[in-house]
Amino acid sequence: MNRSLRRLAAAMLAAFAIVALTLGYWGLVRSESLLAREDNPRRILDEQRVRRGTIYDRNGRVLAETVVNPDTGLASREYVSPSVAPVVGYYSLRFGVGGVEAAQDDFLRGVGLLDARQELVRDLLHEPPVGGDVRLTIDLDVQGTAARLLEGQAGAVVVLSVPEGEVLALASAPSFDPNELSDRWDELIADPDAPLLNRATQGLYQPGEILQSVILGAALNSGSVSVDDEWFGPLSASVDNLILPCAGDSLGVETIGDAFIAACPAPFDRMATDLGEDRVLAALRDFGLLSAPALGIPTDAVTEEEVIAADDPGRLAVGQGGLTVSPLQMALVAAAYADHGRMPPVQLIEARRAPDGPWQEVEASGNPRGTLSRASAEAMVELMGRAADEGVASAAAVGQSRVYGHAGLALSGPEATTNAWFIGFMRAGDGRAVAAAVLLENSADVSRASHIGGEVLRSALNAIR
Amino acid sequence: MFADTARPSPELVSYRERMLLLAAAVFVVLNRVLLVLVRGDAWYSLWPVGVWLACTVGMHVVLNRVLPHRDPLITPLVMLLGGWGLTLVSRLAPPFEVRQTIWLAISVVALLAVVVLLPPHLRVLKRYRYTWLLAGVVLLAATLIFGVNPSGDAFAPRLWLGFRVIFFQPSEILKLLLIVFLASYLAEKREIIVTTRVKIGRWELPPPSYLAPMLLMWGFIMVLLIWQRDLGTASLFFLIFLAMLYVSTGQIGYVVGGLALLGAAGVVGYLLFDVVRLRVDTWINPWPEASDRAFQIVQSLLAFAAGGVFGRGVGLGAPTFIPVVHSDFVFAAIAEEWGLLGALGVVLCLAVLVLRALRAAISASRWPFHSLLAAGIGVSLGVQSLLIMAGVLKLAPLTGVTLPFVSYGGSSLLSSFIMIGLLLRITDAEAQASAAGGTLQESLNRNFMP
Repeated sequence: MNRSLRRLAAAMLAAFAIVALTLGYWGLVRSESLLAREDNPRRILDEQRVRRGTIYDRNGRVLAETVVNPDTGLASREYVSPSVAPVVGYYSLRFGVGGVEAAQDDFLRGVGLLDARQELVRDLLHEPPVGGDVRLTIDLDVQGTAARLLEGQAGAVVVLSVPEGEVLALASAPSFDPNELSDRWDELIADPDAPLLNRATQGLYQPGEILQSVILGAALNSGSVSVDDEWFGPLSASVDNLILPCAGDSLGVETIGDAFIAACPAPFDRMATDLGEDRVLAALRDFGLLSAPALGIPTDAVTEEEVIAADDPGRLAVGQGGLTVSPLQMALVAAAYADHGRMPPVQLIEARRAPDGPWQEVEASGNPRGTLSRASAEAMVELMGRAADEGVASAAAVGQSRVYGHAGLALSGPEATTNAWFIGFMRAGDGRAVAAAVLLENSADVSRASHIGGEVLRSALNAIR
Repeated sequence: MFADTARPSPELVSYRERMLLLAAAVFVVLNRVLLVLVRGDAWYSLWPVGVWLACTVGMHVVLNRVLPHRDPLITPLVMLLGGWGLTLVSRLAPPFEVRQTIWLAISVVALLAVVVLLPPHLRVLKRYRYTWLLAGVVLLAATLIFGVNPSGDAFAPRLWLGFRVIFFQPSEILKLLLIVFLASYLAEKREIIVTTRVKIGRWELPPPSYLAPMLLMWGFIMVLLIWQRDLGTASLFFLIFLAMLYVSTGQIGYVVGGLALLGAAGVVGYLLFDVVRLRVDTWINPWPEASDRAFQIVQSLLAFAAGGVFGRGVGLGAPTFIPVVHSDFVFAAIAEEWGLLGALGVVLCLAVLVLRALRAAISASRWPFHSLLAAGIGVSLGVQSLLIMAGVLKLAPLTGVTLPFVSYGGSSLLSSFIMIGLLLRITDAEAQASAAGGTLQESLNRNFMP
């Protein structure tokens, strides 16, 4: 009997050993892949414990912060104003993250901010993970002004500081309230007006007449044309049996400069044909219209191949070809003219700090890029000044400080709706400036676009002074 | 583990047990206090741990008087697991805490009653085996007729007998009676079973007249259990039966044949019963049905994964996502909150307990009934632990048996403690007898006869 008892004991011991090994298998070997499963309810619980960092504007005002319920210890995310949604984005347990919340997710959650020892101590003490803070270049006042001016109108506004290239405002409408995202998600997703789309950075629109500043700049730079060249040809352009008219007052247009000031498209068709496709494409490249700006949050742009595949340089030159641009890209064009032909690198994240750490500045990714000669740029600036004083963008000029700008129409989409554009800048007097781009969907009102542009530029000028 | 060293003095036994109980008490009290702190409970909610301490001290004092030569490892292991279980019930199913604490006290009293009232020769158990058998059958029949399910679900298996507010699972007592019966029967008949052979063709079999009553009894129990769809208990009984048959005869053929039978029963069960199909399907591949039929087992595996090495800390994990975590899945809750170390600790405690029981069986091999009884108890506790641990680890199909001493469940606690009482009685009797020397009959006469 003892022999069988010993064998039985050995068999039991072996079975317990197998159980122990299986414990190790699920608890160590398979642990990570199991915990990553969608149906792991601990993910949501863990997520609710994270003390996500705060997002500030350039003046230290809170844009988004995590509030902890003292009873449950669970955290929820609160946003200061719906106006910041297009740039700050959203953070939702169910629907993920967007905008800066997505781009800076790891830092805001505190991933990698502790060394292995600190991480172990935190884990053993069961302390919640604490994330780092992020400071944006956004100015809450300018952002609020931009959002307010867009109310009831689909479109986008981008405001940059010059020469730093800091994004002072990035508005997109219609937008959403990130505080109510979870309740209204289905509605937001189904909305044909796409409130979750960031039109300022990812909306790609026909540039239409607003491209004239690039084409004319390139033509002046190459010497193929001069501002005072006379023009007796047609002023409106025809696109697929549709007429793209002068956005401004075409009475008395006699020169190329006059045509620009009134935003008449036809002369630019000819100008581009004279320049040739290669030089038009080179100009688009120089002005950054064929590459997505490195902003930190998602941006879009068409590629050179897409533009080439689409059509001839003449149609491209009136902004109705294969080239589509985002409001952010056009704001950078305005910033390039404000800085005498140098386009700044764009920047949205100003600084970050680890929990209890000091703020650390974030370097802009990239260097200023030359677009055209200083003389050509000055000639363009002069024309933009006149366009804002008495031309197509005159609605932008209110008050004493001079606005430099341009506005125009673009035909858009299969239904040939019209969009209105404005780009422009204002100088601060100390070598600094603010530049802006405005896009209004489904609007032929360049005055309104210019007015919004002027308002946000004045607001931004106050902000950087 | 099996080395028979010189018998320690009663003082040494008492000292060893006291030190081990102290270590267990430190663990149990510390965890319970931590739970109170984590949950921000009032301090008076610590009272169950007071009951536990009283039980532990009372047990130690009484055992020192009644069983001075007992195995000093057993009580600390059992009380550690029992105290841990109490903390877990409080953690996982607070409404059941009072009930479980009362059951623990009842169980300890029952254990002490067993060791005080039963003389060392255990003759009353051995001699009246058919009475016990009959009692078991009656109990089972009563469950079949009057059985209820405390949850009130009309379609849930009715495995309980209810007396007003107290519900009792007769299969737990049946398990005990089965072990006693088998130990008694096999102790008497095993030599005849082993030596007598009937030739049927190429096969040599024991005479049917000896095996028949046992097989009949087993068959009867199995039919009733399957009738009640309590398949965990049915497989547990079957495995206990096989192991005791193997121990008494030394013939591995019984085990092989028996396991084949169990496999065949599994196939039949798979085809006939939805509950078996569910358990087998979710064992083989739970992943496609993780949110549906296999929710429980997948959530259990997630708990094991979430625990890591050190666990998330008592009260700080999320094991309550597993349905009925406090009874069937208590092992997963331990793994989540005490980590791999805690779960391995439980495995170690149970393994040592089983090995101590089998060691007692080896030491007492001069008395076949005592030996087989100890072996049966060891096998019962071991197989039950292994079934449920393997089940929640997706190592075997899930069977709804309890983790001895740890899971919520009064009947299981009571029967396990009675088994431990018998085991302690056997270790003490064996140690006294072997110290006294002489033949079995002499020692029995000298020491135990009135």
